[in-house]
Amino acid sequence: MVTKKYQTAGLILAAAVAAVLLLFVDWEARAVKKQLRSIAGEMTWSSADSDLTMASRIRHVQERIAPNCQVEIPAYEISQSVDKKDVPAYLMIARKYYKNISVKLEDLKVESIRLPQAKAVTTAYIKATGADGQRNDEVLMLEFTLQKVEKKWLITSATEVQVLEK
Amino acid sequence: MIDRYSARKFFFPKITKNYLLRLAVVAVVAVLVFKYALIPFRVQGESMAPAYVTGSFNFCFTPRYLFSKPAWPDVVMVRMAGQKVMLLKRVVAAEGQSVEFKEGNLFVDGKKIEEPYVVNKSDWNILPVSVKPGYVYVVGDNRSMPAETHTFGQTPVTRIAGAPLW
Repeated sequence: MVTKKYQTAGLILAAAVAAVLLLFVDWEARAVKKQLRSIAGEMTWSSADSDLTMASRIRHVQERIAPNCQVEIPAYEISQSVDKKDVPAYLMIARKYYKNISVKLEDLKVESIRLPQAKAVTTAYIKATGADGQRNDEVLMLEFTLQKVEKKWLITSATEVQVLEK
Repeated sequence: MIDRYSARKFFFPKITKNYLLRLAVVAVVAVLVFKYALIPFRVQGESMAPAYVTGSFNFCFTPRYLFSKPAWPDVVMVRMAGQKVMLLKRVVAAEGQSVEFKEGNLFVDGKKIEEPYVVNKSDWNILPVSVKPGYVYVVGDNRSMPAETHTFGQTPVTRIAGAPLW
């Protein structure tokens, strides 16, 4: 009798938690954030990483990018449309320039979601060591637009927001 | 003189309702103060050297500009996507003023400004720029690097999160 009472209370509690999660958690925003954090994680490498690890990272980055992605980052003199199939070539060039790199996204906020599109802003803290051993850290405010294609959020553009206008 | 009983009472207090309430109030006040009014931060980078060097610790005092506007020679914190990563810069000109660098010297509205806080003199030559309404012009104290690699320029006053406490 008592056990049945506890079981019922447990079920009601679980149902209440599930209802709260479904009603108050923005699952799409979470998915967008997860996708961006995961791409930042894949954009991290060190000179000790093997070619196999690098190839796997490149593949993961490629999977998260739309067939055509517009990249506007004046700090790195990048202003072009990047074709998904060219991603490995660009990342290999980046690997030649920087022997160590790590990207951390701070203050990641999803500004708007109008399915199938989403817009997010973040501060990217890039710690890099050039091939010559020189530190080249950079802090950028980036705005991403993403598109949902077959239940996956793909990056369609990455634009640097000018915090200080020269 | 602290006797053994007092010391024991201090380190191992009796958990009463009042004690828990006091603890909760202290925790809530601490969270509010250090999240919104005095945001702790650590300086990374040498753009404000020698006044603020890498590794130094400080607080961002956010109510600093509640009743006044940032003006020369205030040191301010410029918000990026949020408040986790901010830029630390010095205000050199306010809205409507013209800013120019000639042979490393700062000219505001055509008048040379003495900058005792600048130790590493530069050879910057930057054409006059008029500061837009609602904006301030900020620049770092350390100008030993070329102007192209230094982050400076005008930013909306709304981006100023506060000022370092010391």
